[in-house]
Amino acid sequence: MRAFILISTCLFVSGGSLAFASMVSAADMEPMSDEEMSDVSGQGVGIVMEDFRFAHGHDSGAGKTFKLTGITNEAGEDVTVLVDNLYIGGAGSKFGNSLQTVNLGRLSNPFSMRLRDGDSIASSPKGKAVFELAAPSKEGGSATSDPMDLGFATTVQSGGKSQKLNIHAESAVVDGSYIRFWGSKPGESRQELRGQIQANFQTDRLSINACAQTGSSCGSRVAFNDFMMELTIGNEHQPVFFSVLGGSHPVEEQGQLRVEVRTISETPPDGYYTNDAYRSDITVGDVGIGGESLGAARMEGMLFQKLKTTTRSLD
Amino acid sequence: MIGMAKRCRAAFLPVLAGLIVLPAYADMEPMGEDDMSNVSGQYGGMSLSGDISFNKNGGPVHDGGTRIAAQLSEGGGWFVLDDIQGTFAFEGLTVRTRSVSAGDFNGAVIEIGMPDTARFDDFGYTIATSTAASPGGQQNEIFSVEMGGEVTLDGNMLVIPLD
Repeated sequence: MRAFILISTCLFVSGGSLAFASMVSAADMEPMSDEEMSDVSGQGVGIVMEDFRFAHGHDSGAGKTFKLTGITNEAGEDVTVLVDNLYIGGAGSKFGNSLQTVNLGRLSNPFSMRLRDGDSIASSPKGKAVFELAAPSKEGGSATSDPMDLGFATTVQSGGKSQKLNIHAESAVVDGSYIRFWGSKPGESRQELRGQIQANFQTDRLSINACAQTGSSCGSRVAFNDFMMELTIGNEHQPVFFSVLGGSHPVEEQGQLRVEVRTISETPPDGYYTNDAYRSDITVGDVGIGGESLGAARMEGMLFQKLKTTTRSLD
Repeated sequence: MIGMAKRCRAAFLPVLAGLIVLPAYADMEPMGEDDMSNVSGQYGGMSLSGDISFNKNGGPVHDGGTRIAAQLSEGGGWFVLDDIQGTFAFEGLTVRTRSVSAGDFNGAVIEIGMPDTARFDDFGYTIATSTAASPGGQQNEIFSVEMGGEVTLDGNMLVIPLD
């Protein structure tokens, strides 16, 4: 079963040239039956990461670069964000200093990318094909995935000054999150890409600090303990429209990105304003600043009735 | 509704442009019908090493990297992934199929084993919005990402078909 075909590949794409060379030796394969073949439908793929971990950070001494550029501050000076560490690993990774491995998703409940029938999913548009990117779904209302640690530690260089900004999440899960896109029908008033976003994020501790080191000894940490966010933006009655403004808009708005939830145009169905499925919640078990506890914070039942965000170039 | 445009057409991933297979072995023997019938490709696998370069030294027409643009609304502007360039090099990436029987899952999965080493060389891209699919429109560059050096990348990616 553990047969291997060894192929040494050289793939080189530059200026339109490609060379591909392979050497093959194989053994011990088994035929695939018609039944097995017929199980493959190709409507989507599920993805599971097994014993996974990823990290990369800027370290000029070790020949590593990782930075974000092209941002300017209010004075018009260039801002460079050096990404000291971006990591995803298992619980107990100690802010990325001891990166553990993690299983993301399960084969029976994987991360997925697929085309779905809008008729078959609640809160999605009827009569439309819906493209969906999804995290594992919740089982019995609870997140059941293995928790992961993830973090983003940066040095922001702006106007000759340099500051640290680090964000870490410990034992986090994203179960139940998805983003769905669908198109408009011919003749529909807005010929735009539309969609809905469900962003779920649950973590034992979400911490933000400006410490020089990424370790745990930092005192000036802002910590959100038992943080739970379930953000619902857009549904079949009020989708999110994504567009880049074109020639029909004023010159200063052209080429800007707009994300918009319009006021509802139809008569909403009974219970629209009380349906929990359309509402967002953010709860924090305990907010702590520098070790001082400020108690719990909850924001529940928020419905996005209108949202309009447009980027604006500062150049 | 979503259109695609690309700059440096000649340089935009002409993957599978050439394929040379070198079975460089001596003293080969013919394979019998029985041997042949046992070859199916189901539980095979391979190990890949190599690198992929995108417009590392600029494209043939423009100096920049590859550009991918998507139009999100009719007559609207374009969401752009611009100046994709650099090299991603890897050693020991494995691809094979694996039979899994665990819990409530029973079937074959494609296993992509992350490489022993993975390295970016001058890899970068820019996220932008623009009034035009091609360069030359009114473009707002949101930010650019630059990556280089060896990255930590461990584990297996398992891929399964979904209904």
